[in-house]
Amino acid sequence: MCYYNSIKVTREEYIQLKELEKAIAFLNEEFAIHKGFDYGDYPVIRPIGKTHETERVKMQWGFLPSYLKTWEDVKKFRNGYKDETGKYQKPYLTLNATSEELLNRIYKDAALRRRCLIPSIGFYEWMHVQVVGKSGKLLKTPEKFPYLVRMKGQEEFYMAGVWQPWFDTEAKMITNTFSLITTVANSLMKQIHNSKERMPTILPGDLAEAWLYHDLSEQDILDIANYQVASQDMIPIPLDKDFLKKENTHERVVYKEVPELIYG
Amino acid sequence: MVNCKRGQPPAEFFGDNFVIEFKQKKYNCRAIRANGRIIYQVNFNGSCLYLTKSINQHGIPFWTSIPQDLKLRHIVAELGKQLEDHLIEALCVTTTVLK
Repeated sequence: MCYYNSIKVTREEYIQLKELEKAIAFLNEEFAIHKGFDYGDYPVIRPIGKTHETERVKMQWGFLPSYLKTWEDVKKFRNGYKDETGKYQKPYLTLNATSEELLNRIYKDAALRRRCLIPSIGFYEWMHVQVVGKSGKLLKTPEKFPYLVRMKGQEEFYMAGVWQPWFDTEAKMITNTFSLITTVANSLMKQIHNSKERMPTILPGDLAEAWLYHDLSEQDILDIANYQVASQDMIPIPLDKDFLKKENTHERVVYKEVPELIYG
Repeated sequence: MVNCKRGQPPAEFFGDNFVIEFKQKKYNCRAIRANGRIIYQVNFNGSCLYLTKSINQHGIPFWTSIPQDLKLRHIVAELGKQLEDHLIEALCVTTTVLK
């Protein structure tokens, strides 16, 4: 009786299949939706040494400071926990780093020495809208309506980021992690992301170049991190509220409860 | 300027979407050209399965997933058959591999 089976291919075919695997990985990077709270890997662009060449490497989204020593520490850091006295310690979210605090907190060293770009074809944000319930009164909890925001004339654009190699003292392994920098929302994003009024720091070519390669002063770093892309350069696409569960995630769906966006 | 685009994309979609049926359910598919070979993307509830036709050491063609996964061999064989039927029916072509 045969319980174990395998299909052997020639060495040449095996290499070809491995090459296809790499090609598919690239395809996934380009089209997948990455959810920050999955703390998954994401392609990040960083300079190679001190050259003007770049490399696209996968890093874990969610900056980890070096004072965390083990994955158990990381779990507590990201999810919150009760300390010895029973007091709840809130989670520490490092998916985003605010531009204003970039040089004050755990990000300072990375902002000075390990800056990167995060490529994207679009990002998602939710508009909070107060809706009227069946009783005719305003519901306490606002409803959330998602938008995909793309950039005019740019299939791919770059967001500013900082990265940090994190050393797991138990497994003796390094995991590269990063945080995406956010700035104050422009007038369009203030309407879309109306709960926080923030947006990613999207950099045009010259600033992206400076962010990656230049020896920047602290003031230069803050100036670039605070850069606001213009509302007119953005294309907001309203999406189905359940778009994450749908096949066609980019289909435009307009809800009557959502106020019209105003440019200006 | 920062130019992070690669010259030639290692994989690109081509042709129209099409649908295959598997166990009374319909699945969206697309063809991808990569390294001179054709791969089929089958969408499964938001995630993707990639299939291509390979050839074993004895010269016999078979369908495989990319990356190869022995656990998926039955479903891959069945989906491959469905893909083949679709291509024969829709385009009057058959799939083949070079030895």
